[in-house]
Amino acid sequence: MSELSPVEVRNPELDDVPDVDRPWLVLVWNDPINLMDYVAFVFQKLFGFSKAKAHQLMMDVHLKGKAVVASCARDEAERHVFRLHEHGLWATLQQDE
Amino acid sequence: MGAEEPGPEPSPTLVETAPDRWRLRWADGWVASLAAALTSIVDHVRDQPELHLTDASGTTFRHDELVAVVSQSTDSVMSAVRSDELTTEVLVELGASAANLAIVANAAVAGGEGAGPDPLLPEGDQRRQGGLMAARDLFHRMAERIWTALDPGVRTLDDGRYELAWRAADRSMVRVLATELDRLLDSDDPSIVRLFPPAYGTDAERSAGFDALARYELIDRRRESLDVLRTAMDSGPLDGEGLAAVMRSVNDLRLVLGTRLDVTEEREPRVRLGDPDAAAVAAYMRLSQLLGQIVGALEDAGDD
Repeated sequence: MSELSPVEVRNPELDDVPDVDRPWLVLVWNDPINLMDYVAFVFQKLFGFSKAKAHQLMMDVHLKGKAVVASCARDEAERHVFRLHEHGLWATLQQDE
Repeated sequence: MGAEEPGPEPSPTLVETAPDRWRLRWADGWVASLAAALTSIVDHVRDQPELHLTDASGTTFRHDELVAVVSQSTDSVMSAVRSDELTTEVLVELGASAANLAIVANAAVAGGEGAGPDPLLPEGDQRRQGGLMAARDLFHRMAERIWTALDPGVRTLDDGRYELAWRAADRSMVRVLATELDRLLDSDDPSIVRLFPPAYGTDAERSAGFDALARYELIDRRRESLDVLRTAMDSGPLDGEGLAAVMRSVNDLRLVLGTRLDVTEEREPRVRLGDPDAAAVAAYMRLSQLLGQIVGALEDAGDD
């Protein structure tokens, strides 16, 4: 690599300032063990989705590998992830890009 | 995700109207399909004197024995169709008859494993094979329906509470696995990795921060649910919240076993003779079935 290649400037202090405008996404990832009916039922139970919506999200997880099940403030997203982990689902949160 | 084949419309429906009293409800057109299925099996067995069958235990049935089995099973099915109510004993007999007819039809299809009749056969034989396949599927479904009704896993009581209708073997299996999980929860054993996923995905630092706050609470909740599960096996009915705790614990046990058995999307566990994991695979499959029954009961309650 030459000395002239562009360098990305990173300022850790600035990068740590949360961007309040961008919501946090709760994602559920596909895994080979959780049963399809169980995943759909957990979505209904935790998020109050209709049967049809829960089924659709479950199918997204199954076929596309993941689905966004909530978009909210970070602390709320963490609570959702906690409840999903409690139910054995592979859930993560990340800030919307 | 662990796939469950979406089954065809389960018919007939079975309702327990009183202790030891069952009512079969037949969907429209079902009795006609049933009669056609019986005819195709009876005709085929009569016309094929060389037909014989070896069952899973290695016992071979000669042609005359097959004729007797088919005739007895046909009588049992026909009398059930004509009855308004059945006792449990008659229902068990009906389930066995349906299973027998499915097995005979399957043998008569003779290698027709595909979804439809062999297109290389002459037209008449194709029709016959198609009829036998339909008969096999119909009686298979009927037998399955009856076994599920007789062994529901979870019974919903009139007051809205739930009773675990588990077999003795389920209880001892669950007890052993629950004790083991209780012990593993404080460890860093690789088999519990699915119980505590990294909350921030690849962001290891933030995931560790979440884990530091959440793990002990998650462990506590899991222990509470395990206690509900263990207590429920020896005591009376559960409310919805109790059954939900049992559901989470049964799933935790599946997650641990599935991780240990290295279950993947492509490799569904199957019990194989001589496999050192056979007991774990059997437990995994049974827990999956129980979980499905629990979800079904809780979903039915939500529909009301």
